[in-house]
Amino acid sequence: MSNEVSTEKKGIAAETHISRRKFLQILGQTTVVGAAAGCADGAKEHLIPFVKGEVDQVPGVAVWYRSTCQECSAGCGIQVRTREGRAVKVEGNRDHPINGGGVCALGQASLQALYDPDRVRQPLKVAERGTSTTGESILRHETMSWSEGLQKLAERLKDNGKKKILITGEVSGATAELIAEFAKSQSVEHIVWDPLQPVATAQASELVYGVYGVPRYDFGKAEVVLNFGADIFETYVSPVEYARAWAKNRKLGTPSRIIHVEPRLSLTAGNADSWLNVSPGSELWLAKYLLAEMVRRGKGHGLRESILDGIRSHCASATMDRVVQECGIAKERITLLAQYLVEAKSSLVLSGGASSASTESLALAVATALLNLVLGNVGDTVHLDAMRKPQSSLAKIRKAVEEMDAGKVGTVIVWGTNPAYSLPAALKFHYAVKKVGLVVSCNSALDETAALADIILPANVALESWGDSRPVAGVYSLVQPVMQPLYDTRSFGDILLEAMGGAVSGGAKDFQGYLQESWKKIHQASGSADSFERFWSACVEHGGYFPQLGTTDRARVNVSDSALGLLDRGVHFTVGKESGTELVLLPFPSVKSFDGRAANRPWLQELPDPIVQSVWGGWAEMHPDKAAKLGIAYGDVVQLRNDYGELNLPVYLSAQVHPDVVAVPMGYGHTAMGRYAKEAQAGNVMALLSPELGNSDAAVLLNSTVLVQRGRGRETPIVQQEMHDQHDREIARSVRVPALGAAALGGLHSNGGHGHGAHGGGGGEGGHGGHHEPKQMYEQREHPVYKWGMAVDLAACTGCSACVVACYAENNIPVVGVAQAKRRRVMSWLRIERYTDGSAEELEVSFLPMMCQHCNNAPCEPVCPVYATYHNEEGLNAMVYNRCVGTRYCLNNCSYKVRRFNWFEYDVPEPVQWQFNPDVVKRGVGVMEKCTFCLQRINEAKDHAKDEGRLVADGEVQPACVQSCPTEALVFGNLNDPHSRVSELSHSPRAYKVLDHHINTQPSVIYLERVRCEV
Amino acid sequence: MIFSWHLFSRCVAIAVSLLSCCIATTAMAQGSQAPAAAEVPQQEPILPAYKELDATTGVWNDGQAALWDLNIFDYFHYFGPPERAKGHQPEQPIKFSHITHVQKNKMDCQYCHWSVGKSSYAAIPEVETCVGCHFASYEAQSMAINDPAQFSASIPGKEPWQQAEIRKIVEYFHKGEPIPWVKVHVMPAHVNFNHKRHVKAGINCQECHGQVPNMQVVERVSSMKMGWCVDCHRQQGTSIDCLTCHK
Repeated sequence: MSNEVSTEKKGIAAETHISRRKFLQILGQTTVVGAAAGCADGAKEHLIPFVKGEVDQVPGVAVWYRSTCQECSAGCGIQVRTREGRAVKVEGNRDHPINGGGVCALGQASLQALYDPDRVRQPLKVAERGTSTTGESILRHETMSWSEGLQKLAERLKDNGKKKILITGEVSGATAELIAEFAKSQSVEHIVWDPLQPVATAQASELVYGVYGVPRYDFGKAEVVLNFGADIFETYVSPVEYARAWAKNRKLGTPSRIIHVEPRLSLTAGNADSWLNVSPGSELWLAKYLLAEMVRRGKGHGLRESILDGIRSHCASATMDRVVQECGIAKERITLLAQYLVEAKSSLVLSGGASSASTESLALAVATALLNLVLGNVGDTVHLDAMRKPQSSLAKIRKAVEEMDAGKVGTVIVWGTNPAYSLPAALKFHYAVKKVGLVVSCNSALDETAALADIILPANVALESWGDSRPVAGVYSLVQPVMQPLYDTRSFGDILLEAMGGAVSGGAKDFQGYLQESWKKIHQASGSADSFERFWSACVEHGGYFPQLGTTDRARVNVSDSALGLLDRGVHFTVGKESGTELVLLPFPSVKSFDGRAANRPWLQELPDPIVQSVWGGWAEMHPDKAAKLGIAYGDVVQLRNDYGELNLPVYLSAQVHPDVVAVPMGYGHTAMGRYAKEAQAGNVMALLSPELGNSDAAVLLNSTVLVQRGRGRETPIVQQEMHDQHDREIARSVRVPALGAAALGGLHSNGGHGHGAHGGGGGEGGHGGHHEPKQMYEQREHPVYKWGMAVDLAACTGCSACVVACYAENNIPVVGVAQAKRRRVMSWLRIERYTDGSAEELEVSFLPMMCQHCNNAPCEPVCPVYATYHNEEGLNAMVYNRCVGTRYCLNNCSYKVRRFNWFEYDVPEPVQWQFNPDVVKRGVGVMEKCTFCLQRINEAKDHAKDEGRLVADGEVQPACVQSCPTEALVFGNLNDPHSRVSELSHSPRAYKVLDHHINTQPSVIYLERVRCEV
Repeated sequence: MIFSWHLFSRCVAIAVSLLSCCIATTAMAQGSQAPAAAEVPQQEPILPAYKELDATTGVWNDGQAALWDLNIFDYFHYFGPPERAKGHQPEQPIKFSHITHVQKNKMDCQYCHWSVGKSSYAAIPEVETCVGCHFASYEAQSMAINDPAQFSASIPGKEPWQQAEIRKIVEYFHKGEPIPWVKVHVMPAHVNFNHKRHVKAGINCQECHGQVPNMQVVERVSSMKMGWCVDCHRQQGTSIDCLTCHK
C-alpha cells in the first residue's frame, strides 16, 4: 500500500502560559531558527507498499462498498468510501428502496463508532472494582484472550441452574435467526430493549387491524396528515424515508398539509404547517373528539355498525368543551382540523414520539388506528403489507430486572443496547445486575452496561461485520464489512456461534457462512435462475435484494372490544397548577442524541440541535412565563427533582414549549462510554422517570412530574444561534399555498409574513431576488467553462442536519470540544440556521442551510492582504490555506459568517486520523477555512471527464452535503449549462439569493423559498 | 499571555520571507544579477512579467502566483527541510538499483510503478512484485531464510552485496512485512498532484524525476517547489489556478 504515512504533529488545543519576559527571551534566541522551522515538518516520510496486491486496490483510488446502516432499525442502505483499505466516508445507497441516497446525521457518524478512540480493543475482564477511601469508584480491567473469555461464557451457558438472559437492540434477518437458535439451544431468554421503538403503534395495529406491526405510510398521497407527536423527521421508525416522501410533493408545490400535535416545538413540529401546542398527555382527548366527530359526520360508512357504536359510546365523554379544556387550544382550530379531515380526499393520522409515550400510549395509538380506519385510510395511505415489527419490550426487561434482583439469573449477555443508561434509573438495573453470576457485555464501547459487566467480549462495529437487515417485507439488505477489524474484536454472530460450540442448522463454521445459508432461502424464494454464488455476489454489489413490493393489501378490520375499551382511559397529570412549581417532565430524543446510543461521537456532540441550536450537552427547556413565575432566568441552573432522582441542568427559555412542561433531551449525562460522552455533561433524564409500566410494551417516557426550582450556580447551554428573528432581512423566505378549497398550485404566492417589496434596487418580476440584476460597478467576471453553483430548495429542507455531519466527515473539519465551543469557535463549514416568525398561534419556523455562498462579488476577497482567497474562473471562491497568514479580515468582512478560523491545532486521538479524507488537507493553526463546494470532488469528476474527453456531466459532482440530503433539497451543478438541474432551479419563481438585494454579493448559492401551507 | 509555537514560528518565517523578498526585488531593480545556483536548470526568467494587479479583486488577474511563492528562495538559499531539498538522496532499506533494473534489464517504469497512469499516486511495487522475479518459489524462500550461504550460492554471477539485498526482499515477503522505503519526493500535504494527468499529457517521468535509470540511489533532482511547477505549467499553457494544485 503506497500511502503516505502522515508525520504531522498532533497538536493539542491547549494554551501555553508563558511570561512576557520568557517570550522575549525565546524570541531573541530563535529568530534565525524560526525561519527554517516555519516551513519544516521534520521527520522522514515512508512509502509503505502492499505486501501482496489486491485486485480492486489502486493506491489513490477510492473503493466503495455497499452495506446497511445499523444505527437504528430503519435499515437504510449505505455505501462506504474506502481509501487504501480504510473507511473514510459513509453515504446513502441510491438504489436502496428505503432511503434512496440520503442518510441521516447518525448514519453519517457511524464512522466514529469505528474509529472511536475509547473502543474496547480486546476482551477484558474486571481486575478491580470497588470504592476508594475518597469515595470514588474504582474500575480496572485487564486483558484476556478470546479463548479464555469464550470459555468462561460457554461454561456459564452449560449451567442450567439459573436463568440466562440475552439483551439486545432491535435485530432482524440472519442475526435474529441465529439469536433465536442460540436462545433455543442454550435455553436463554432473548429480550429486546430500544426505548425509541413505536411498540404502541404496532400493538394498536394488532388490536384494530388484526396484525402486529407499524404500517407503511404513504405521505405522498395524503392531503392532510394529522400527527400526534411522532417525530417523523428525527427518530421515529424511518426518518430518512419519511422525509423523502414528505419532500417529494412539497417541491412540486402540491404538499401534504401536516398538522402536528405536541407540547413542544420539535423539529417535526417546526416543519409542520400547523402546530398545536397542547397540554401534555391530552392528545387522547383530541383524538377521541375527532373520532366521534368523524363518525358523526358520516365517515366510516363501510364499517360494521358495532364498531361505530363502540366509537360513539366510548368517545362520548370527549365533548368540544372538554377537549378545549384538556388540550388548551382554541375551539376554532379544533373545528378547522375536523373540517380538514372530513374534506380531504386522502388523509393520514399518526401517533408516536416521546410526547405520546405516556402510560396510556396504547389508547392514543388505538384512537389513531381507529381514525385511520374511519377515514378510510387503510389501504390508501396506511399499508399493512410491509409492516415493521418492533420487538422491544419494557415489560419484559422490567421483569428480567426483577428476576435479577431476586437472584434468579445466572448469566446476562448484552449487545447493541445500553440498559444501564437507557432504562429508567428507578428500575435499579445497576443494583439488580450485581446479583447476576456473570454479566457479559459485547458492546464495542465501554458504556454504562459494560462498566457493570464481569467480562467484555467486544463485538465488531457494523462496518466491520457481515450481517443483514430485513426491516420490512421485500427489503433484504446486506451488511458487509468495509474494512478489516481495527482491533482484536469479533462479530457478534461469531461470538454466539463459538459460545454455542458451532452446533447450528446448516453447519456453518462462522457467521458469514451462517448468513449465506440464510440467504440461500431468499435465493430459493426469489425464483432466480442464477446460481446462488451469482445471486449472492449481485446482492453484495447492490447492497441487498429488493424485490418489488406489491400493494395488494386490504383493510383487515378486526377491532377488538378491548381496543375500544382503551378509549375510556386518559392521562391525567396532576400538575400543580396551584402551587405552580411542579411541571410535567418531557424527555425527548433528537437527531443528534437519539437515546444516547451515539454519545461518544464528537461530530454529533458538536452538531447544533436544529431547534435550540445547542451543542455539547443537555438543557431544560421551559416556557419563559413559567420560568419568570418560578424566579428562574436565562443563565440559571434549574433543579428538577422528584421521588426518583434529581437533575441540575442549564435552563433554556423558549416560548415554543407548553407552560406545563419542562422538556429535557435524552442522551446526555453519560458516566461511561468514552471521553466525548462524558464531556457532554448535563444529566441523564432517565434518572427522573418513574418505573411504572404503561398499557403497551413501549418505553414510558411521559409519566413523571418534577419539582422545578432554581439550582445552584449559573450556566447556559452552549447555543450557536440565539437569535430567532430575521430582522426583516428576508434570509429565509417562504411562499404560501392557500388553504384547502382555495386555488391549487397556481396560487403559490410569496410570503407576506415579513414585509415583501424590500427587494433592493432592481427587482425582477414578482420581486424575486433570483431575478434581481442591479447595475454593476465593475466589469463582470467570465466563467468560460464551468460556473459551479448550488440550489437549496428550502421547501424540502427539514433541518435534519445530515449535511452538516457529512461535511465534517468529508472535509476533515476539526471538533473543538466544550471549552472552545463555549467561545463560539465551532468549525463547521455548513450550519442550519433556524428562524421563527409569526405569532405563537401561527408559528412559522424556517431552516436554512448556510455555507460559503461563493459570491461573484465576494466581500472576503478584496480584503485579503496576501491573496489567499480569490475568485477563480470556475466561479469558486478559492481559499489557499498555505498562503493564508491569518489576519481574519475575510471573516470579518464576510456577510454570511461562514468562514472559520483555526485558533488551535485540535487534538486528534488515535485512531481518528484514519478517518481523514486523504484528498483534503488538514488545515493548520492560524489559517482560515471554509466551504470549498467539495473541491476534491469537483477535481475528481473533472479528472474522470478529461479521461473520457468530455465535460463534466450534470449531477456528476455531488458535494458531501448534496449527497447526504435525505430529501434532495440541495442540487449542485454548472450554472453555465442552461439545461443543468441547478440552472433550471435557479430560474424557478421561488428562487432568491440571501442578502443579495441588500449588498449585491451575487452568491452562487440559490435558495428556493420554503413552501408553507395555510391551514 | 497566550503563546503558540506554531503561530510564532509562522510569523517569524513570514517576516523573514518578506524581508528577503524586499531585498530580492531591490536587487533586481538595480539590475544586479543574482548569483546563479548550479542546480537550477532554468535561470530565465526569474520573475516573469506580471500583469497588473486587478483593482476589483485584489488578485493577480490571471491567477498568477504572488511574489514569495516563486523560486527566488532557491535562488539565494534553500530554507526548507533537507527532505524537500534538491539532491535529497536518502539511504533506502534495500540498496535497490535502477541502473540494474532499468538500464541493464530494460524494464519499463510502469512495470513496477504500475498505477502511475491510473491514479494520482505512482504505486511503489508490492513486495509480491519484487518476489515475482526474485524467487517466488517456496523452496528458494525457505533456503533464503534458513541457509543464507546456500541461497547466495544459488544465485551466482551477482556481487555478494547484491545477494544479501535480494535475501532481504525474500525475508520481508516471508515475514509478510512491507519494505519501508524512504520517500524521496516529499510533497507538502496541501499539494494535490496527480500523476495520471501528467502521464496522459505525455510528460516523461524523466522531466521531473531526472535520469532515474542512471541512478544507483534515487536522488531528488528538481526542487519541486511551487515556482518550478508553475514555470512548466505556464510554458505548457495549462491551468495555473491555485485550486488546480492546492487542496
